[in-house]
Amino acid sequence: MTPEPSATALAIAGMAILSYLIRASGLVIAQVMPATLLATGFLRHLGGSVIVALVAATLAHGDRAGLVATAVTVALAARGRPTAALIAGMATAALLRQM
Amino acid sequence: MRRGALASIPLGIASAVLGAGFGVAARQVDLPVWATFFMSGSVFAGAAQFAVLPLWSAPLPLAPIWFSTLAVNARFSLLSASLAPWLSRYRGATPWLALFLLGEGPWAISTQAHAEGERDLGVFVGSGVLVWLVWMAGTAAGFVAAPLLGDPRRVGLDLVLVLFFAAAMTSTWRGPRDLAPWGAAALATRIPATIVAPEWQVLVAALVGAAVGAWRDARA
Repeated sequence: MTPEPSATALAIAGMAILSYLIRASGLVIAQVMPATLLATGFLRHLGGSVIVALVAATLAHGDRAGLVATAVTVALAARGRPTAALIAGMATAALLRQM
Repeated sequence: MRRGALASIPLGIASAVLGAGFGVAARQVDLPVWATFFMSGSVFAGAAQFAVLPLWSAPLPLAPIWFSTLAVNARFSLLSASLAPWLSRYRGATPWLALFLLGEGPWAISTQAHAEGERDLGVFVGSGVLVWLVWMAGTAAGFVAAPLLGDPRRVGLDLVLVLFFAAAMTSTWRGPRDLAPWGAAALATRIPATIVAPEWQVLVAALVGAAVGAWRDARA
Protein backbone atom coordinates (compact mmCIF):
# COMPACT_ATOMS: atom_id res chain seq x y z
CA MET A 1 0.00 0.00 0.00
CA THR A 2 1.21 3.52 -0.80
CA PRO A 3 1.91 5.60 2.33
CA GLU A 4 0.14 8.93 2.96
CA PRO A 5 1.94 11.93 1.38
CA SER A 6 2.22 13.56 4.83
CA ALA A 7 3.96 10.49 6.27
CA THR A 8 6.29 10.34 3.26
CA ALA A 9 7.15 14.04 3.65
CA LEU A 10 7.80 13.62 7.38
CA ALA A 11 10.01 10.56 6.83
CA ILE A 12 12.12 12.30 4.19
CA ALA A 13 12.41 15.54 6.19
CA GLY A 14 13.68 13.49 9.14
CA MET A 15 16.21 11.73 6.90
CA ALA A 16 17.42 15.10 5.58
CA ILE A 17 17.82 16.61 9.06
CA LEU A 18 19.67 13.55 10.41
CA SER A 19 21.94 13.46 7.35
CA TYR A 20 22.89 17.11 7.82
CA LEU A 21 23.52 16.66 11.56
CA ILE A 22 25.90 13.77 10.80
CA ARG A 23 27.70 15.84 8.18
CA ALA A 24 28.16 18.66 10.70
CA SER A 25 29.06 16.39 13.64
CA GLY A 26 32.57 15.57 12.42
CA LEU A 27 33.56 19.22 12.31
CA VAL A 28 32.08 19.77 15.78
CA ILE A 29 34.02 16.81 17.19
CA ALA A 30 37.26 17.92 15.53
CA GLN A 31 36.83 21.47 16.89
CA VAL A 32 36.19 20.26 20.42
CA MET A 33 39.28 18.05 20.54
CA PRO A 34 41.52 19.24 17.70
CA ALA A 35 44.86 18.89 19.50
CA THR A 36 44.43 15.22 20.39
CA LEU A 37 43.23 14.16 16.95
CA LEU A 38 45.86 16.12 15.04
CA ALA A 39 48.74 15.22 17.36
CA THR A 40 48.15 11.51 16.92
CA GLY A 41 48.02 11.80 13.14
CA PHE A 42 44.63 10.12 13.36
CA LEU A 43 43.04 12.56 10.92
CA ARG A 44 45.87 12.14 8.41
CA HIS A 45 45.15 8.42 8.10
CA LEU A 46 41.37 8.73 8.31
CA GLY A 47 40.79 9.74 4.68
CA GLY A 48 42.55 6.82 3.02
CA SER A 49 41.10 4.37 5.52
CA VAL A 50 37.53 5.44 4.74
CA ILE A 51 38.01 4.86 1.00
CA VAL A 52 39.75 1.50 1.49
CA ALA A 53 37.02 0.39 3.88
CA LEU A 54 34.30 1.36 1.39
CA VAL A 55 35.93 -0.55 -1.45
CA ALA A 56 36.78 -3.61 0.67
CA ALA A 57 33.32 -3.78 2.25
CA THR A 58 31.59 -3.64 -1.14
CA LEU A 59 33.87 -6.22 -2.74
CA ALA A 60 33.42 -8.61 0.19
CA HIS A 61 29.72 -8.91 -0.72
CA GLY A 62 30.21 -8.57 -4.47
CA ASP A 63 30.49 -11.01 -7.36
CA ARG A 64 33.43 -11.92 -9.61
CA ALA A 65 32.46 -9.28 -12.21
CA GLY A 66 32.81 -6.64 -9.51
CA LEU A 67 36.28 -7.88 -8.53
CA VAL A 68 37.58 -7.97 -12.11
CA ALA A 69 36.06 -4.56 -12.90
CA THR A 70 37.71 -3.09 -9.78
CA ALA A 71 41.09 -4.55 -10.79
CA VAL A 72 40.78 -3.00 -14.27
CA THR A 73 39.85 0.37 -12.73
CA VAL A 74 42.76 0.32 -10.26
CA ALA A 75 45.25 -0.62 -13.03
CA LEU A 76 44.16 2.27 -15.27
CA ALA A 77 43.86 4.76 -12.40
CA ALA A 78 47.44 3.91 -11.39
CA ARG A 79 48.47 5.22 -14.83
CA GLY A 80 46.76 8.53 -14.05
CA ARG A 81 43.61 8.10 -16.14
CA PRO A 82 40.71 8.23 -13.62
CA THR A 83 37.90 8.87 -16.15
CA ALA A 84 39.06 6.13 -18.53
CA ALA A 85 39.51 3.86 -15.51
CA LEU A 86 35.90 4.34 -14.41
CA ILE A 87 34.47 3.81 -17.91
CA ALA A 88 36.66 0.74 -18.58
CA GLY A 89 35.66 -0.73 -15.22
CA MET A 90 31.95 -0.33 -15.96
CA ALA A 91 32.37 -1.77 -19.47
CA THR A 92 34.19 -4.78 -17.99
CA ALA A 93 31.41 -5.38 -15.46
CA ALA A 94 28.68 -5.07 -18.11
CA LEU A 95 30.50 -7.53 -20.41
CA LEU A 96 31.09 -10.11 -17.68
CA ARG A 97 27.48 -9.89 -16.48
CA GLN A 98 26.18 -10.58 -20.01
CA MET A 99 28.10 -13.85 -20.22
CA MET B 1 34.85 26.60 -7.64
CA ARG B 2 35.50 26.07 -11.32
CA ARG B 3 38.64 24.07 -10.46
CA GLY B 4 36.62 21.85 -8.16
CA ALA B 5 33.90 21.31 -10.75
CA LEU B 6 36.42 20.53 -13.50
CA ALA B 7 38.28 18.04 -11.31
CA SER B 8 34.94 16.36 -10.63
CA ILE B 9 33.99 15.39 -14.20
CA PRO B 10 34.71 11.63 -13.73
CA LEU B 11 32.89 11.86 -10.39
CA GLY B 12 30.01 13.65 -12.15
CA ILE B 13 29.63 10.76 -14.58
CA ALA B 14 29.55 8.31 -11.69
CA SER B 15 27.02 10.42 -9.76
CA ALA B 16 24.72 10.79 -12.78
CA VAL B 17 24.71 7.02 -13.32
CA LEU B 18 24.12 6.38 -9.64
CA GLY B 19 21.35 8.99 -9.57
CA ALA B 20 19.72 7.21 -12.50
CA GLY B 21 19.97 3.97 -10.54
CA PHE B 22 18.15 5.64 -7.65
CA GLY B 23 15.48 7.04 -9.97
CA VAL B 24 14.85 3.54 -11.32
CA ALA B 25 14.75 2.00 -7.84
CA ALA B 26 12.43 4.72 -6.48
CA ARG B 27 9.97 4.18 -9.31
CA GLN B 28 10.05 0.43 -8.67
CA VAL B 29 8.80 0.93 -5.09
CA ASP B 30 6.17 3.49 -6.27
CA LEU B 31 7.75 6.48 -4.55
CA PRO B 32 5.86 9.52 -5.93
CA VAL B 33 7.80 11.84 -8.23
CA TRP B 34 7.80 14.76 -5.74
CA ALA B 35 9.08 12.51 -2.95
CA THR B 36 11.83 11.09 -5.17
CA PHE B 37 13.17 14.59 -5.90
CA PHE B 38 12.62 15.82 -2.34
CA MET B 39 14.70 12.89 -1.07
CA SER B 40 17.50 13.15 -3.64
CA GLY B 41 17.74 16.91 -3.17
CA SER B 42 17.55 17.15 0.62
CA VAL B 43 19.10 13.90 1.84
CA PHE B 44 21.69 13.79 -0.98
CA ALA B 45 23.25 10.52 0.15
CA GLY B 46 22.94 7.63 -2.30
CA ALA B 47 23.65 4.72 0.02
CA ALA B 48 21.13 5.86 2.65
CA GLN B 49 18.46 6.55 0.02
CA PHE B 50 18.84 3.10 -1.52
CA ALA B 51 18.82 1.53 1.93
CA VAL B 52 15.41 2.93 2.94
CA LEU B 53 13.53 2.16 -0.30
CA PRO B 54 12.64 -1.44 0.67
CA LEU B 55 10.96 0.00 3.82
CA TRP B 56 8.66 2.26 1.79
CA SER B 57 5.15 0.89 2.32
CA ALA B 58 2.25 1.98 4.53
CA PRO B 59 2.34 2.38 7.46
CA LEU B 60 5.77 3.94 7.05
CA PRO B 61 8.19 2.58 9.69
CA LEU B 62 9.64 5.95 10.71
CA ALA B 63 12.06 4.72 13.38
CA PRO B 64 13.71 2.06 11.16
CA ILE B 65 13.94 4.55 8.26
CA TRP B 66 15.64 7.15 10.45
CA PHE B 67 17.89 4.69 12.22
CA SER B 68 19.01 3.21 8.92
CA THR B 69 19.77 6.73 7.64
CA LEU B 70 21.89 7.40 10.74
CA ALA B 71 23.76 4.11 10.50
CA VAL B 72 24.44 4.26 6.77
CA ASN B 73 25.51 7.93 6.88
CA ALA B 74 27.53 7.70 10.09
CA ARG B 75 30.72 7.54 8.01
CA PHE B 76 30.07 11.17 6.90
CA SER B 77 31.08 12.18 10.40
CA LEU B 78 34.59 10.88 9.69
CA LEU B 79 34.77 12.67 6.34
CA SER B 80 33.68 15.90 7.99
CA ALA B 81 36.27 15.46 10.77
CA SER B 82 39.04 14.88 8.26
CA LEU B 83 38.14 18.14 6.47
CA ALA B 84 38.26 20.03 9.79
CA PRO B 85 41.78 21.50 9.38
CA TRP B 86 40.55 23.05 6.13
CA LEU B 87 37.00 24.06 7.17
CA SER B 88 38.14 25.58 10.48
CA ARG B 89 40.05 28.30 8.64
CA TYR B 90 36.73 29.81 7.54
CA ARG B 91 34.61 31.90 9.92
CA GLY B 92 30.85 32.16 10.27
CA ALA B 93 28.29 30.13 8.38
CA THR B 94 30.48 29.20 5.37
CA PRO B 95 31.75 25.80 6.59
CA TRP B 96 28.33 24.84 7.97
CA LEU B 97 26.62 25.62 4.65
CA ALA B 98 29.34 23.84 2.68
CA LEU B 99 28.91 20.72 4.82
CA PHE B 100 25.43 20.16 3.40
CA LEU B 101 27.20 19.14 0.16
CA LEU B 102 29.43 16.61 1.90
CA GLY B 103 29.59 13.17 0.32
CA GLU B 104 32.41 10.76 -0.47
CA GLY B 105 32.85 12.12 -4.00
CA PRO B 106 33.47 15.83 -3.32
CA TRP B 107 35.36 14.83 -0.21
CA ALA B 108 37.72 12.56 -2.21
CA ILE B 109 38.28 15.29 -4.82
CA SER B 110 38.98 17.88 -2.10
CA THR B 111 41.29 15.61 -0.13
CA GLN B 112 43.38 14.96 -3.25
CA ALA B 113 43.44 18.70 -4.08
CA HIS B 114 44.42 19.51 -0.48
CA ALA B 115 47.31 17.04 -0.68
CA GLU B 116 48.47 18.88 -3.81
CA GLY B 117 48.51 22.21 -1.96
CA GLU B 118 45.00 23.54 -2.69
CA ARG B 119 43.59 25.65 0.19
CA ASP B 120 40.50 27.25 -1.38
CA LEU B 121 37.25 25.81 0.00
CA GLY B 122 35.65 26.72 -3.35
CA VAL B 123 37.11 23.50 -4.74
CA PHE B 124 34.96 21.49 -2.33
CA VAL B 125 31.88 23.65 -2.97
CA GLY B 126 32.33 23.51 -6.76
CA SER B 127 32.65 19.76 -6.67
CA GLY B 128 29.64 19.42 -4.34
CA VAL B 129 27.39 21.67 -6.43
CA LEU B 130 28.30 19.82 -9.63
CA VAL B 131 27.60 16.46 -8.00
CA TRP B 132 24.27 17.71 -6.58
CA LEU B 133 23.15 18.93 -10.02
CA VAL B 134 24.08 15.75 -11.92
CA TRP B 135 22.69 13.63 -9.08
CA MET B 136 19.32 15.37 -9.53
CA ALA B 137 19.52 15.12 -13.33
CA GLY B 138 20.41 11.44 -13.02
CA THR B 139 17.49 10.84 -10.65
CA ALA B 140 15.15 12.46 -13.19
CA ALA B 141 16.55 10.42 -16.09
CA GLY B 142 16.27 7.17 -14.13
CA PHE B 143 12.73 7.94 -12.97
CA VAL B 144 11.61 8.61 -16.54
CA ALA B 145 13.50 5.68 -18.10
CA ALA B 146 12.65 3.11 -15.41
CA PRO B 147 9.80 1.40 -17.31
CA LEU B 148 12.06 0.94 -20.38
CA LEU B 149 14.99 -0.46 -18.43
CA GLY B 150 15.37 -3.97 -17.13
CA ASP B 151 17.63 -4.96 -14.26
CA PRO B 152 20.25 -2.21 -13.64
CA ARG B 153 22.67 -4.89 -12.40
CA ARG B 154 22.99 -6.41 -15.87
CA VAL B 155 24.78 -3.32 -17.18
CA GLY B 156 26.88 -2.90 -14.03
CA LEU B 157 25.06 0.21 -12.69
CA ASP B 158 25.34 -1.09 -9.13
CA LEU B 159 29.14 -1.01 -9.38
CA VAL B 160 29.61 2.60 -10.43
CA LEU B 161 30.22 3.88 -6.90
CA VAL B 162 32.73 1.21 -5.88
CA LEU B 163 34.61 1.73 -9.15
CA PHE B 164 34.77 5.47 -8.53
CA PHE B 165 36.23 4.79 -5.08
CA ALA B 166 38.68 2.24 -6.50
CA ALA B 167 39.99 4.98 -8.81
CA ALA B 168 40.06 7.54 -5.97
CA MET B 169 41.82 5.02 -3.72
CA THR B 170 44.53 4.49 -6.32
CA SER B 171 45.11 8.24 -6.70
CA THR B 172 45.21 8.72 -2.91
CA TRP B 173 48.02 6.16 -2.39
CA ARG B 174 50.98 7.99 -0.83
CA GLY B 175 53.42 5.08 -0.87
CA PRO B 176 54.37 2.18 1.43
CA ARG B 177 53.60 4.14 4.61
CA ASP B 178 49.90 3.76 3.71
CA LEU B 179 50.19 -0.02 3.67
CA ALA B 180 49.64 -0.61 7.40
CA PRO B 181 46.53 1.60 7.88
CA TRP B 182 45.01 0.51 4.55
CA GLY B 183 45.61 -3.17 5.21
CA ALA B 184 44.10 -2.83 8.68
CA ALA B 185 41.03 -1.04 7.29
CA ALA B 186 40.54 -3.71 4.59
CA LEU B 187 40.95 -6.55 7.09
CA ALA B 188 38.55 -4.91 9.54
CA THR B 189 35.75 -5.06 6.95
CA ARG B 190 35.93 -8.84 7.39
CA ILE B 191 34.87 -8.70 11.05
CA PRO B 192 31.83 -11.02 11.20
CA ALA B 193 28.41 -9.39 10.99
CA THR B 194 27.54 -10.92 14.37
CA ILE B 195 30.07 -8.52 15.97
CA VAL B 196 29.73 -5.48 13.70
CA ALA B 197 26.40 -5.01 11.89
CA PRO B 198 26.87 -4.53 8.11
CA GLU B 199 25.74 -0.89 8.14
CA TRP B 200 28.47 0.03 10.67
CA GLN B 201 31.22 -1.94 8.89
CA VAL B 202 32.73 0.94 6.90
CA LEU B 203 32.76 3.25 9.91
CA VAL B 204 34.42 0.71 12.19
CA ALA B 205 36.95 -0.38 9.55
CA ALA B 206 37.95 3.23 8.80
CA LEU B 207 38.45 3.94 12.52
CA VAL B 208 40.61 0.81 12.85
CA GLY B 209 42.72 1.85 9.85
CA ALA B 210 43.24 5.39 11.10
CA ALA B 211 44.05 4.14 14.61
CA VAL B 212 46.65 1.68 13.26
CA GLY B 213 48.24 4.46 11.18
CA ALA B 214 48.33 6.84 14.13
CA TRP B 215 49.74 4.14 16.43
CA ARG B 216 52.46 3.23 13.91
CA ASP B 217 53.46 6.91 13.47
CA ALA B 218 53.61 7.42 17.23
CA ARG B 219 56.06 4.52 17.60
CA ALA B 220 58.30 5.57 14.70
